[in-house]
Amino acid sequence: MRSDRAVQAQRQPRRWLSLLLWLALLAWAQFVHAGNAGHSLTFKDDVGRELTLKTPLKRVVVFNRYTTEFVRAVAGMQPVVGVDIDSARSRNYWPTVTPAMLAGQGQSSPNYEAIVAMQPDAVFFPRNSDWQKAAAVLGRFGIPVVVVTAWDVLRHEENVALFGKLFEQPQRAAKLNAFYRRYRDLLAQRLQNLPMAQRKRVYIEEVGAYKTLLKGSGWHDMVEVGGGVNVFRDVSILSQPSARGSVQGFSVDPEEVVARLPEVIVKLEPGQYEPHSRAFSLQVLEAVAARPGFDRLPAVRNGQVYHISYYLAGGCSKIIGALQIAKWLYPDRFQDVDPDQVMRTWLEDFQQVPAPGGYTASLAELRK
Amino acid sequence: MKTDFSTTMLIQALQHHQRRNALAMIAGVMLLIAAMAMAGSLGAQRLGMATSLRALFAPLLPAAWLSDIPAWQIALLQQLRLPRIVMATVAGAGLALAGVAMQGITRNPLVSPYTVGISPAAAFGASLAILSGATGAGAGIAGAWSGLYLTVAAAFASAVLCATLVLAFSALRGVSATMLVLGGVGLTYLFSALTASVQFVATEQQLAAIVQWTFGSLNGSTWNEVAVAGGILLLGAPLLQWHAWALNAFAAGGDDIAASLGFAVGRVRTVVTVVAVMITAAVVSFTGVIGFVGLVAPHIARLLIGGDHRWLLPFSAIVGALLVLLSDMAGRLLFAPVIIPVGIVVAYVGVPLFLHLLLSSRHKAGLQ
Amino acid sequence: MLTVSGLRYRHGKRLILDNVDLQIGAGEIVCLVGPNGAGKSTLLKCINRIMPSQHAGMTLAGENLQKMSRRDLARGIAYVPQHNGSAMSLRVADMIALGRAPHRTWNSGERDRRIVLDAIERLKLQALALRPYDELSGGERQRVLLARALVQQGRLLLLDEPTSDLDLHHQLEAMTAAREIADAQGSGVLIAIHDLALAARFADRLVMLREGRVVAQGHWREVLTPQHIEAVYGVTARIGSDGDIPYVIPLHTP
Repeated sequence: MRSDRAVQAQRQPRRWLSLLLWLALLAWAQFVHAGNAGHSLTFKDDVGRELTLKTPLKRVVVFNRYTTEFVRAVAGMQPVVGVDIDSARSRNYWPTVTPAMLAGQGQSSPNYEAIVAMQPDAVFFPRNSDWQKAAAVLGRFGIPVVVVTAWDVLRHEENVALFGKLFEQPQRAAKLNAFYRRYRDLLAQRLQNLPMAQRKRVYIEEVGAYKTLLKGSGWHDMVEVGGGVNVFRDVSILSQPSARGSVQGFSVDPEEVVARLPEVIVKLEPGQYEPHSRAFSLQVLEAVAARPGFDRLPAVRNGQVYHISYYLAGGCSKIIGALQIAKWLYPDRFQDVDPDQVMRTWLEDFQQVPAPGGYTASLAELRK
Repeated sequence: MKTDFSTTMLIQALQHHQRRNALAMIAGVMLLIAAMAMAGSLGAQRLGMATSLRALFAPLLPAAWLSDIPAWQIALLQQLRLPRIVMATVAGAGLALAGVAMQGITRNPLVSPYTVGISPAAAFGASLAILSGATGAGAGIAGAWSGLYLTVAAAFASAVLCATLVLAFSALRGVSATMLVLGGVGLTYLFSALTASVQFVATEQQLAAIVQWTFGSLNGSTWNEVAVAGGILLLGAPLLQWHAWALNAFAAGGDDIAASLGFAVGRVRTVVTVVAVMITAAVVSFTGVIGFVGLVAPHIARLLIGGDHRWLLPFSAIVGALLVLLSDMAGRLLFAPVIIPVGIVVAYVGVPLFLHLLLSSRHKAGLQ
Repeated sequence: MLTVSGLRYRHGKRLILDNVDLQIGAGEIVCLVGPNGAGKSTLLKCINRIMPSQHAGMTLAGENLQKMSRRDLARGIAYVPQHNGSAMSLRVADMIALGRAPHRTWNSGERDRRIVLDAIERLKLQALALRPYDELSGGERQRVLLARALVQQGRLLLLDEPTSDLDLHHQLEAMTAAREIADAQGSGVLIAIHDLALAARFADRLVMLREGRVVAQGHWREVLTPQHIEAVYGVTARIGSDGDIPYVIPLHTP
């Protein structure tokens, strides 16, 4: 008869063995559950659809420049097989894009045949597109449509993290999010003890004359994140007659602008990768300064009229634009911050294109 | 009774005329089939005629014949191109038929489904649906299905509402040609103004969607859409053909003559209007506004085959179908892979053709 | 053939036709004369039920006109209107063929064709048959419309001002054709017409209307008297005949 200890001694290796077997089983089960070759990811897209895709994505068609930028930042251009016309046109900004990669005019009118021929693993649409139709049509070919709205700054980190998972590039996604968070936190930190009364009043205008941006628009948020106070922040779009426009372009009375005495004027102009010429910027700014009644404004007197290209302002979910505005408004608080350098990092490190600089201009500077 | 020599000649001339019309019809049909075949083989993906024919009849052919064609090409042809081609045919034929019918009962060559307010009304319905936000930006999963069909349903309902209004007004004052035309013109302006108002208050994203809808596009047509529009056309066309003699009577002299020849004027006018409206609404709800076809295809047909509605109705349908089909092909191929909406191309294709026929024809097409 | 009694037509507040009595026999031509606005066209349209009259005293060959179906009415009455605008590219042959519309059945094609050819022959329209109606002159158009009325084979033919837009030659032609139709088909013919002399020459009887009332009926010598003409037209006129052919010469207004 064996002693108890002997029996115990015999049981020990068996316990380890069974534990090992269980672990092996679990590991194997994980693999089986995850699919044959590679992994898969189940997630919810921007409009709440639940999707399961095989990762990493190797071939994608991307609509909307902001989305393409994020994909390039996280995964490079290698997986991108199809783009919209915006990306196909800017040869300098998208040097690897060939005409054959054009998948249609844009997110509202994709060329389904071209997309099908590209045999993508997924097609990305922003939510302000005809994604329902696209999903219905492409679904018949087994091509999934993923709704990702890269221009929505509130979803920046989520979107980037999702791309990290979809392309299996978690480090690069983390790096981009860290970049974004760093400057977002920097702004919050340096501005947190600045009371409202001391914040500079900013009049922000889009490309149309006397069309400003209101609460609810991303550009308004950019100004406020940058520490400015939108002179028209009190306007609620819901109580306004719809004839005056929307939050993205709201018509204001010239006299009202003057009455609110903005200290800084920021004029947005549409732009591309190539920056505006100095002559153009000067022309725009002088035109603004020359408007009737504007010579009385502190903004004009101090030359604090700024011209900013949508391109810079929108870069990396508008954080760079916010940074630039903060620098203009409170140069002393942001002495050590160089928005041009941040833009350079964004373009060179994340977008892999050279940074030409010169996306902004100020009246004071140009007048010298 | 052929005692007179000139009567004998007349009989021969009549027979010759009859034969010529029949030949024109046959030629038209064959041209249409050829155009459809060509449209099938051309596109972003160039498939040879033989390949496209094989893919077309794939379910009936032995697998060996199809082994060299990838499955996605077959699917592309059957699920993308073919429904698009059939939809183009249905849309062109339907709009042309509606145009002939409306021109006939109003004795007005300037009348078309557009000028009587149906198309603008449909555009308004669609823009309301887009504005309501249930179709695109911000829609959740629930929005997906309903969004896709909400626009269609709204457009259809709006078009039918407009037609009901026109008929109701006319009924109050007698369903006369003038009432229909004037009421229709008035409502055209009203609905255009309403749509413009919607565009004014829409956000940028919604505006893009609304404007896109007004271009008229066959992109992404599905078999379901074809079935609905085609079904309504197949029901309505024979009804219109049944009234060919009545339309002749209207064209010959108006209400009094038609009544004196035994036709129930009010009833015929109502029936024809309802059928024309239903066909137009069915087409326009899916494709968006394709203007010009309803106005000009009947005139082209009239120049070629005369004003007898027994021939004019089917021939207009063929002319309309050809016009839309060829325009869609041009739109797809000219700047491939960017697709120009068919609503835009139709005018470019149709106007020169129309002017050429007008200038070279010896007969005036009832435009005095 | 046609009997109208006590016909009234009111449009809004105005009484356009008041208590009109009228008879037309088979093969008889009756001419309706009277000044502008007397109600001649309206009377024709009331008989044809294009306008709704307010009295049920109308019979056609014994049948109650008011109760007939549209189609039967079209088979019984052929109507040639006054003004005819564009016909939207219809050819002459098609215009004439429209007259067979109320008679058409699914297998009447051959018969209809023969009748149409017959009418074309009778009115000498062979050369024009395949031309668009819009390209024809006034006189030619009138012939086409008569041909259409002919193929309609109505027992009653209503002509509204068939000679107003025609020159002398075509005026005679049109009235002669009406006479031939009455004789050949035995239809009654009611013609609303301005020209008193023409009316008197071709009509079997005249009916003179003034402000919606029948002022006089009968043979032209009884109707076209200087008193009647002065009362109805406000014009002094001399009436006479050159052999069989009557003439009316307006002299002056009093």
